[in-house]
Amino acid sequence: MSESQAISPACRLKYTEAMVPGDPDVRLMLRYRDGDVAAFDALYARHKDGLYRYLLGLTLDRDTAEDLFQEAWSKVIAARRRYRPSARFSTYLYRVAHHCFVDHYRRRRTRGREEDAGVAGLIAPEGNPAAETERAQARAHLQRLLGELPAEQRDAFLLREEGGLGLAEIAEVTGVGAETAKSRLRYAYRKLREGFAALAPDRGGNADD
Amino acid sequence: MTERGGDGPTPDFADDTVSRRYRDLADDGSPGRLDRQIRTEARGAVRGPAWQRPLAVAATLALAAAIVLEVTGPRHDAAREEAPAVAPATIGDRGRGLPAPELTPEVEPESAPAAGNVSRFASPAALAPPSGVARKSEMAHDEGVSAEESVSVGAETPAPYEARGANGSSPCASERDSPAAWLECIEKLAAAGDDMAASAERRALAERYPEAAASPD
Repeated sequence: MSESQAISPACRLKYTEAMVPGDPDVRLMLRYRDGDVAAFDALYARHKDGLYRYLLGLTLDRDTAEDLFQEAWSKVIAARRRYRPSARFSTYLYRVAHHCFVDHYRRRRTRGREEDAGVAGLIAPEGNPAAETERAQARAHLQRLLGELPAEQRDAFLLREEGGLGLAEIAEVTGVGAETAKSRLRYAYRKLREGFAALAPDRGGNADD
Repeated sequence: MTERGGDGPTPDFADDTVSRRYRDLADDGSPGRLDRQIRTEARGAVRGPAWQRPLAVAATLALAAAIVLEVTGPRHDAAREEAPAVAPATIGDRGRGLPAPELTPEVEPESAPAAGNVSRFASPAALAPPSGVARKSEMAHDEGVSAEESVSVGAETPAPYEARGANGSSPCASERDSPAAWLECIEKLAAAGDDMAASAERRALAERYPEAAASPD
């Protein structure tokens, strides 16, 4: 880039802010970057549950999900001074969380714990089945259905449902092309639909709307 | 849950039934224990690490103490006053055996041209009337040194205070045009305990305004 084409940091910041003008989360994060703790509280309240469910659905283990949840937010907090809005905040947040999960998965694989790819082994026990409510059983079934999905399909589905990410954003977060992301989503929705339908007779028709 | 980015209402790959079913059954959200931890961490990050505050306070106190000591403690000039300003051999070679009058102002020949303010500070005696030399002689006599010695030794031993004047940092530099203001400045110096500077200013005053210096108090 020549001297005359160089963009000052202030100019670049204005540009990136202009890129995501309608995202209130970006403004909150920028305020937090500048020291406004209340802005972080607001940001956290908006995203904490979705991100937690995303990680819980991804890991299918409450302890691991909590660890990764904390790790992801810690990274956001630690990187606040370097934060530059280049996309919606949710895209940024879920990309951080996605990388936390991928790193965690790789660490476990290097330790020889191959059961991550499996399903039942990672589903947290729900206590005595006889005492569980119907909702708890349905929730366990959902967990099982999620667990039966390949990890990348589960990831894409959860990014859409919990993170509210669009196709392009999912592709960006997961590092694949838009068509691949779309294909993963299509398979995920189809398998879950079939899974819920299979559950419906057991629930007296309540499981399928 | 946040709004979706840019896919429209329901793209062909998605399924609203599955989405509703999933949301109905999904877990509630993050535990309150985690929420508190993360919010605390976020606050701590804005405030900085816990050890930074006490460190900053300690550094501020240390700096303040150093400044106070510098202002109220024994001055460097006083230390210089006790030490010989010139190697005793210089004086000894002349066979005087007398301590060097460190604050003796530099005296230039009367024929020296009057220069600007900077040179005035460097050698106030240069602008003093001829009678100032006589006054200087008296003062030097009080210290047991002849005027000739005083002038000659002073020329070899530029006094620290006079050197400060050369840099334009004399505490009474701006009052030198008025004897009354100059005297007041000298009194302030003396009151502040800066006897050395006060003494040097008195000498400069005596050279320039001998009648005013006759009764400095």
